[in-house]
Amino acid sequence: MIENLLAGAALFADVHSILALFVGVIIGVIIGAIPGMSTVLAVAVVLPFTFTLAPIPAILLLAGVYKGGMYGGSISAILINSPGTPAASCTMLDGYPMATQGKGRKALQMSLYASCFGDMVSNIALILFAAWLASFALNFGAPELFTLVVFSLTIVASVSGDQILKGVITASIGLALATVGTDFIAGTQRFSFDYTPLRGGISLVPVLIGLFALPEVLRIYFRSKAGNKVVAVLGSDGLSVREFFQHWRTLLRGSFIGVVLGVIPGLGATPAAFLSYGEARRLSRDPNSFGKGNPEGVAAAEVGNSSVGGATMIPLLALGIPGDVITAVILGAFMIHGLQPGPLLFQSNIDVIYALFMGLMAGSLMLMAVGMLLIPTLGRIIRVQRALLLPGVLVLSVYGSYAVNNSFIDVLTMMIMGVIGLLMVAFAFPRAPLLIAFVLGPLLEDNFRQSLLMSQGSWNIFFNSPITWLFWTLTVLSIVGTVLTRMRARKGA
Amino acid sequence: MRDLIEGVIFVFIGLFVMYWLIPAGVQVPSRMPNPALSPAFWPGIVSGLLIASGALLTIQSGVRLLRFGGGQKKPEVSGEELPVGFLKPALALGLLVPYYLACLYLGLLIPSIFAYVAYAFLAGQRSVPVLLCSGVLLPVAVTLFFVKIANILIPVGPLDGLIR
Repeated sequence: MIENLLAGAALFADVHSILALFVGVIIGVIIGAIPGMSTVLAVAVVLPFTFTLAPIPAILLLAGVYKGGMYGGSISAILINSPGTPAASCTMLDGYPMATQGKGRKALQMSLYASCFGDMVSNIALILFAAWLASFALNFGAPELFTLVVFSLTIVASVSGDQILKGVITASIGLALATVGTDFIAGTQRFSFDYTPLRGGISLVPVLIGLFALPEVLRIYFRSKAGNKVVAVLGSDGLSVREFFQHWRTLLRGSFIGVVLGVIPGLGATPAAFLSYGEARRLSRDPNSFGKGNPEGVAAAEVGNSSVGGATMIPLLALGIPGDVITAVILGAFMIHGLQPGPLLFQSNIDVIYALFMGLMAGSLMLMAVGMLLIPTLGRIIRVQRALLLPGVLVLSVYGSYAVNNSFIDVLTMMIMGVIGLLMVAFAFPRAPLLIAFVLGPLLEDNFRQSLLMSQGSWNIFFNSPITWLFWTLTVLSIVGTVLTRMRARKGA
Repeated sequence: MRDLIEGVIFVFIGLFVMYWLIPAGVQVPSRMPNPALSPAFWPGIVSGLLIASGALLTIQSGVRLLRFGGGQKKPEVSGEELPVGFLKPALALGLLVPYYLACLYLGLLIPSIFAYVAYAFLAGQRSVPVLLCSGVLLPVAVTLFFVKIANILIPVGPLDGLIR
């Protein structure tokens, strides 16, 4: 292994590779930070540039964008309550309250450090445990994925604050919206009413932008003089290393959650972020402080979502199975350069694999450097009045929604979700559960029905394997724990 | 009291979905080997969940009302952020409609310029040079980014020849 590491390091230590990784991280952070643009868009932007690069710089450029985007999404989430990526909507829960309390710098630093921590842990998991984790991921069939997603949905309670029932209601709305489109088993239409653009379902990005970014823009028109104010205050208080590592349990737990979920293809960073947050809140001595500017909430969300990055490369490299859209693009980049991810890649191009490993580790350090350099610049940007900044966010949201599928229906979706989001804010309905359920809904239903097809209608399939029992147990414990916590809180009040 | 009304509303929404929207909106094949595999099964579960949670919210609010009486504490507002009248919020919401319709016919760029200026003006920005500069520069910059760098076809209507 040492020889392979040295060979990989030699291959990585090339100015083109280092530069590609650095540029990728910067692009990812900047584009990920802009509401209306996503990491997927950032990857799509740089993909054509990879065609002319050598394999390692090409893949490192994309990997850098992925890393940068994971952190970048949290910047707008913290500063203007508009997440740049779906996973950053969890960071927003505590990050934005911190910014409004004058602790924006602390929130950004916590987010950055937690991102780098989670990223580094997932890189180490990738290097040391790729083969084992890949074989673990193979044990996850449709029933196991179904029970995992059921467990993941119990985090709705954690992100609903004091309004659990309202959270369940909005989660139901998210599940309902996820059913629009073509039924994948019967091939028939659901809720499209013969309107062709709806046959493909509702896209995630317009829902995300509409639900979170647009209400922030529209809210300033409901309060006088709100337009004259700046969006947030960075503050002068920084985060010390000691303060950061006070949350070591949350960081390790979140990293573990992110790695496990990242290894399973199809889940992505959003459930990992919310699950890590939910567990941090559940196990906290002061769970009521979550959602009101608790730095631990920011740490939990960011470490959860960032530790997915390296882990999603495990099924990609070990099995040739991309875990999400971005790793699917990375798979394409491999193939364009004549490399076929999978077990054979470890035999025939082990130096390329280890060069990639070295690059990913270096990428985490670059992310730290880029993030630290960007924070003062962000401080200047957020001093712009809301009256100038937020209409810009509206314009970006329209462009970003259109760019997903080159369709105006996505712009309309975004605007409708924006009005719904505004109503949810006005009537104190939590928005995060809607997003979580919208993301997880298709996974839940598809795996449920696939399981029944496999078992020819027998429901026993959901109780056949140890993994399903594990997640049923965790689900019950999570629900019971939530109910008991609420009862104790009421008694104490 | 508000939670009670909200709970009742969602119960009715759930019933509407279950008994009207699903039968009207979901095409179910004539023969399904298993009801759980039907395209209408999952929407039915979700509408049931909506009804149940709405009912629970109603019951919870009702119990709270009986125990503690009505009247929710109004949130305090600072002098600087007094709620405005009806006009400004209505305009802010209403402007979305012409913005969207204009995008359909004129592309994204020109309507975005007007929308930016309108929204910034509505938010209180009164400096005309600032409004015009930022109103033009931002949409143009974003358009150029998408068209030239991201290679995404953004409709720009009459300015198509100029941008491309």
